[in-house]
Amino acid sequence: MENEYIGLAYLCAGLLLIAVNIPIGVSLGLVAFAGIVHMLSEQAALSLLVSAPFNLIGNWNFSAVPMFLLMGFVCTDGLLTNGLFRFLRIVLCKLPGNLAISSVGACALFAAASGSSVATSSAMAKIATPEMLKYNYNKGLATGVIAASGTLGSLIPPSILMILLGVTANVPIGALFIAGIIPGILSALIYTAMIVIRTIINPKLAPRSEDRFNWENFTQSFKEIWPLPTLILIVIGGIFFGFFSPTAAGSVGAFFSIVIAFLKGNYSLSLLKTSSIKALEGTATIFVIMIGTDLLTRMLAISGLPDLLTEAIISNNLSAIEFIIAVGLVYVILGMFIDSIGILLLTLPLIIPIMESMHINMIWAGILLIKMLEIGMVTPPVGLNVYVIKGAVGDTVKLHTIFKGVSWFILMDVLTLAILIAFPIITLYLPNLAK
Amino acid sequence: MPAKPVTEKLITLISRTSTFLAVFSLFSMMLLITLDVILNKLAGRPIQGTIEVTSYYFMVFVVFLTLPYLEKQHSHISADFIVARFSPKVQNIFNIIGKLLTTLFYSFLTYAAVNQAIKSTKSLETAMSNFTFYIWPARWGVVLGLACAIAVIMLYLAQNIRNNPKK
Repeated sequence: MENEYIGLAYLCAGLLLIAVNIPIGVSLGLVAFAGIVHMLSEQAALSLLVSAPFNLIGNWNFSAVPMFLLMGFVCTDGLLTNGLFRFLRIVLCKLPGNLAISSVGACALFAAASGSSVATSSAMAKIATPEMLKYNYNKGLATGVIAASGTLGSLIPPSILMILLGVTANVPIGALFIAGIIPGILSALIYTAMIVIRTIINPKLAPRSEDRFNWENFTQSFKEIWPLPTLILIVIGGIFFGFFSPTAAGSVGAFFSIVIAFLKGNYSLSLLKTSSIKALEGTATIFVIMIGTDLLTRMLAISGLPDLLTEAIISNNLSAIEFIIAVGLVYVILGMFIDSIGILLLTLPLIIPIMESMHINMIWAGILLIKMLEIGMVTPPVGLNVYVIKGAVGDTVKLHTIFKGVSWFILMDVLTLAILIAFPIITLYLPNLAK
Repeated sequence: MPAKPVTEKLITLISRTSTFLAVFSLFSMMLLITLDVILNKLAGRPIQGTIEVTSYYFMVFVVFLTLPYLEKQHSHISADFIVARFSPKVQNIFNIIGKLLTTLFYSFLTYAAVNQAIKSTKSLETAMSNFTFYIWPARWGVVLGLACAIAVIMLYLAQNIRNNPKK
């Protein structure tokens, strides 16, 4: 059997193991090891096992993962994210559907701090959805807006997915972070425009709340929330102006988030322990998958399968955009079964060589991949974020109502994606400026 | 209240001790990098070896010493969409297979790591740096974390089999 087919056979075996609930990293690592033994030798496979973990850990950029995870967990456990929704509903009180729009903004800020779509959706569904339901908002809108806006977490920096993409595809993480800012804001603005237009056409969707702007409320809630946006600005601004590397930014962000959380009085040593253990758990989980992916990448490279795929795609005259859309469709399907970190790391070994051979700008493509991964998080029948919302709201709202509500946001995501594909400058403007 | 079985006590002991060291490394890493940034930007005097200590020591402990806790909590990323449809008994069989395969994977990694650690210790391995920076002790951190993770899985399997005897 030719090596390409051996590579393909082991890749399929890995997918089969994943399908029967074997940890993703373990599945990929084992089949990659077996594949290398099959094609080369036991000695070659063992020597790769020696180098893979240390190469990954020795990568300075990977150290950003525990730091940003720690910052995210401290921000959420220390309740630094509290008050965002309340503040925005005061500021945006004049807009139709202001509670839903405030949810989009609060999710975007919450996500920027926590870096996790699932954590954002889960927390915001408990804060914002009950308020919207209290004012008789359409149930689909009240839940769909949170499920969709939670996905902004991966696009708005700092983002764990971007760090992993940067480490795996050898793309500057700082540039990816900065590239995500405008697409993230664009996504939030398009969601907002859709909510406003739908509410103007059908006011019953989002009846007016009793929120009224007054300076006393404004200053009071601003006092509560200002540390979080400031922290995010310092972290992202520091990277943008070249003041520090993403890893340093993560450390500084984590350190100051701890200081702020204690100063605000909502935090304790026991909560700090909880936040740090969650950060460690997240790092180790990602690490095991990355080891598996690293070995799989090497096994596939030995087999020549990526070259064969690249040749097939080029000989079929598939354009870069067609290829990206095809990847997007695969992501939507995989998003029904596996979480976004798993999908990204699972598919990158095959995607990167093809993108490189097509000379696709990896920063632009990376942002598109992340946007598509996040769409996969809300697509039926098994959009992970939708289930998170369902878990948070309980029997109040039916699952199909959430999916129906989120479908409007998926349409808007497709529109955003089309804009980002048609105008790469939207993504690349800020990274070019930062250079 | 019945006393906790010895296996459970051992699992807790191993994972708690290694997690404590991992938490310590996490905070040391955060403080060192933050201090390095502050000193570098304000006084133009970065702390020499920050990248080396972080990459070769703190990160090794952060990642590998968390593996036992990861096994205790069963918190690997996996896809349970098919297995979740089966009965609890079948699910447990897949769970045991998963644990055995994880042990196999960790064993390969441990075997490679032990060989590397011995070689590294004999040669007093240093990092590529503009000063002498020994990295051989860190190689043993990898071995320690993996060995503890395997021990936790073994104890869990022993407990699992004892609690679900074949009838």
